[in-house]
Amino acid sequence: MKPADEIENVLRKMSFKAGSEMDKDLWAATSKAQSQSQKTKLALGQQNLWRTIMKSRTVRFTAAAVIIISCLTGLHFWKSTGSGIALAEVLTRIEQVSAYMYKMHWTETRQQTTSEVTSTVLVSQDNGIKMIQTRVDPNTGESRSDEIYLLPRENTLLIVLHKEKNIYRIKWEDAEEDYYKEKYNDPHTIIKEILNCSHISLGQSVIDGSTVEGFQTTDLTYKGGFFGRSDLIVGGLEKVDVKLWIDVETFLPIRFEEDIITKGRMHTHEVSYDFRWNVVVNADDFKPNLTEDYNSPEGNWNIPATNEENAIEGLRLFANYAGSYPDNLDSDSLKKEATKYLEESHISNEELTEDEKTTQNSELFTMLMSGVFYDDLVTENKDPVYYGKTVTPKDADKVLMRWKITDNEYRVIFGDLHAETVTPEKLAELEAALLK
Amino acid sequence: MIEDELLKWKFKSGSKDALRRIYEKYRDYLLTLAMALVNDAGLAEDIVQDVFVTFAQAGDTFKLRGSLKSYLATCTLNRCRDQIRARKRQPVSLDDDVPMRSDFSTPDRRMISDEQSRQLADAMAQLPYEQREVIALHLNAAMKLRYIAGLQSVSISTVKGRYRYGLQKLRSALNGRL
Repeated sequence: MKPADEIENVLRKMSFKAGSEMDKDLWAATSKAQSQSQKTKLALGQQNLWRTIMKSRTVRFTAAAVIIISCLTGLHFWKSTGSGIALAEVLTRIEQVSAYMYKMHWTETRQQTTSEVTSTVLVSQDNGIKMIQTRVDPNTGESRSDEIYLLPRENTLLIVLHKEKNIYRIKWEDAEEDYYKEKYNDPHTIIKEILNCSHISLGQSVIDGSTVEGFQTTDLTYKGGFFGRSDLIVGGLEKVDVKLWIDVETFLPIRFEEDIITKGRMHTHEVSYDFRWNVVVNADDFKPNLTEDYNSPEGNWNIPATNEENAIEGLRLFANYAGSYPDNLDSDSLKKEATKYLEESHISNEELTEDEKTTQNSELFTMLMSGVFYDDLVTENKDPVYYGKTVTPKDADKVLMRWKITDNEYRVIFGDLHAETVTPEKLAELEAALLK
Repeated sequence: MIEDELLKWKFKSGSKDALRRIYEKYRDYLLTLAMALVNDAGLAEDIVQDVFVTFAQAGDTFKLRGSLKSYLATCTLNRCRDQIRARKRQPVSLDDDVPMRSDFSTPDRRMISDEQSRQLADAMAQLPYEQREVIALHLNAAMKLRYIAGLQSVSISTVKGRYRYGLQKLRSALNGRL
């Protein structure tokens, strides 16, 4: 009789594979389903999360990549709590620290499945943030260790997956350092938020031999944390319990605890501890140790700045692929159209080199920039109007897009993509010409 | 996991490349799971096709916070359960405790497998469905027993019992054959 573990091993190796004929039929049905679905949905003009992201000025286009990466890495720093004089002093003290490190343990439970991440975080004012995290797969129980680098000097987020020997690099053209820190909730940023929230004092206690003062918030409007994971808190929070413990001698944090249940019944629990302040670091600490066999399977993601120049470049690129401008700059349909034209330009993604994937990613993001730029103009009430349905690249003197700069000035992008600043009267003439 | 998250994001934006990669990555994994559960090559193919077609149709409305692999495996599981229930409703029914003997127990030429895998699938088909499901999900889909308990809406001890009894029966059925 076979031992049970041998049976298990044999069963694990059981394998059925699609033959070429089956593969062909399965993929044909799958591919057809996607194509038909896209046609239907385009006709219905559906909106989605992407649109929601793009509509927000603060959580805009560039955040999309961060959301993806942060969601899957479990990148998690600090969250906000209450307010108070002591916390203002804490903020000042942290600003004086050049580098520090701490450990973090985080669990997320959804539908009886618990994800668990343990991290060591190194924060340097000069060099950025480095995180080494160990994640446990809730299904298999396997653990893995990865590294994440947030490098403000290079405007880069770098993720290194050692198991697969893969690198993911996202680079922003115009993001400010604060933007990163806000997205990744470094303790300094979070305490700023704490100061704007209500809280109660928990009085003094002792942690690891140090006298500490505690602060707590149970405010359900709490929105710290989730570092770009705000999509997780759809429907709001059901329970919040956040505690921050400050060393009364150093005025620096010594422990942070957060327990949250969302109305979607997701439960997260996080503890940050073992803080070491003023540690010595050097630049090499923020350079990943990579051998030549590490690959970048998706190429790099270079995300352009949101400005007129890149919006024009995006329209130019789109026209090069499509022969015309996008019908409208709705972020959702623009993204789908851009993806479609890019993918039609090559046979298979597998055939692209890393450099070619990087170029393709850059072209995609540049094309999308026209939509992001337009969204920003809408958000800023700059009276933007876009005429992509009727104006083509051949219409050199026709208004393709315009928006208000001041009460006496409008900016106009013409069909040949040159841009001019005109008076309202001149704009009226130009737009009247469109009706003829 | 990161690759899956990027694929999910690209898929949601309508990328055919992303769908193709997801399909290629999980096609055989789902076929193996389906075969372990229904031991019917034609039915397994239909089930996997249905999973991928439904997934492809979801497009930008697809929302998934967790593992893509688990999601697809669970979709496959649900369809297998539907098929098992449908068979039970047929005039010549197959009771859970009656070994499932399919006319299609040998995969047809459209599906590739070795002799050992076919024998294993045949032996699995002799098990009561709940036991077969626990073993397939744990060993073929790499799910934890606790997670499977959630899927079966039973306690973890029940799942452990089903797993243990199922393995015992398989040991007997396969004795000397592998």
